[in-house]
Amino acid sequence: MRPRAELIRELAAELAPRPRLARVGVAAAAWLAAGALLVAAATLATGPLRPGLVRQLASEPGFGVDLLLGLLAGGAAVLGLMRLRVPGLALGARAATLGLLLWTAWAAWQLVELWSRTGPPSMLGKRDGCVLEVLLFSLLPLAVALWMARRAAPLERAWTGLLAGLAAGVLPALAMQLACMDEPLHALALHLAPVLAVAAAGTLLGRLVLRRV
Amino acid sequence: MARSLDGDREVYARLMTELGAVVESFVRARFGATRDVEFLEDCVQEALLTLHRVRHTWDRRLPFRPWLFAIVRHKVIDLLRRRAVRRSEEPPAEEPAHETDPAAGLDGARLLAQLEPAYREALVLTKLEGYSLEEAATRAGVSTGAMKTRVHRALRTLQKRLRDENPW
Repeated sequence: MRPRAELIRELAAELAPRPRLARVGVAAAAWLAAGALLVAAATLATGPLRPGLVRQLASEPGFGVDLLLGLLAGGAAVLGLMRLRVPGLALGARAATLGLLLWTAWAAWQLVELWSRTGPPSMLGKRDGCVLEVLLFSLLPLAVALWMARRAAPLERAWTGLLAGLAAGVLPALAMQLACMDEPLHALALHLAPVLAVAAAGTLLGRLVLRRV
Repeated sequence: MARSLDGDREVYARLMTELGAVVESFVRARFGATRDVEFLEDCVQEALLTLHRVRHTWDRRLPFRPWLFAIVRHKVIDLLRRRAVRRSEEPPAEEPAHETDPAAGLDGARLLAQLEPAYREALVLTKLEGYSLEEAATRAGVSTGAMKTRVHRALRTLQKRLRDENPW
């Protein structure tokens, strides 16, 4: 082991200014905006939005709650992720709790919708490969989220990866809520559940691609 | 720190020297006056290297100490883990490394002393006394798997308590 003073001399000698990390809120907003644009473009490129969407937004408060819960889950996940990439700002489990709780509330809302809905489910706007679209459209946002985390210093790589996956999965799931058929069980199984698969993949990738601090 | 981030090497060297002393006293306060000077110096140098590598992640608008100690805590626990893995991979020694009372290593080690006896024993045997997992298991009268679990849980508990202390 070399003397400490020598190590310090070497570190000081190689000191060079490095670009600062963006603030948590700014980084989260930038990722969210870029991810939303990308997912919107991919969704529109593969098919139209559900007919009657605007009317539904205006007339069904439950649908607004549905979208709001999804947005909040994604927002909480990406905020948690950006906090976790900076040492000392947050702890893994605590940072992930809000995002996971909001995803759970979003999933639970589908059940509330199922019980409160009257009449047969509408197949309007059904996309055959919606589950695949959720998984595929989440890949690039997930890669960007992990890249952003990799540029910083996340101490808890698995939690950081989980939040990256959760945030990346929520975006296309929300897009499918707007584009694909509006039926709670379908939404729960084929739009929201894949978010968990992306979060699980994010957890694994986090351990693999994020640098050990 | 802010001045050194702008490239002032002299200030940076002074800061690193001071941080080295801070890290050393942090490790001493929590793990006791360890006989393993090499481990102590490993902790300090690894922490300094890491602080240097991730210095760009410190936000100048936020307090410095939570950032600093989050990294130091992480490095110390990481080093303890790596050491445990290294030791478990080493062939068992022909003779027991020590015959002293394991508790002797606990002088001043407040956090270790607060652990449950079984967890404390696991850490003392494997980390302070230098026994392999197999040797430690034999001495404690449990299976190697159980010893491994105890060491793992002890480290998790230690990590949690280090975080919960958060006096900064």
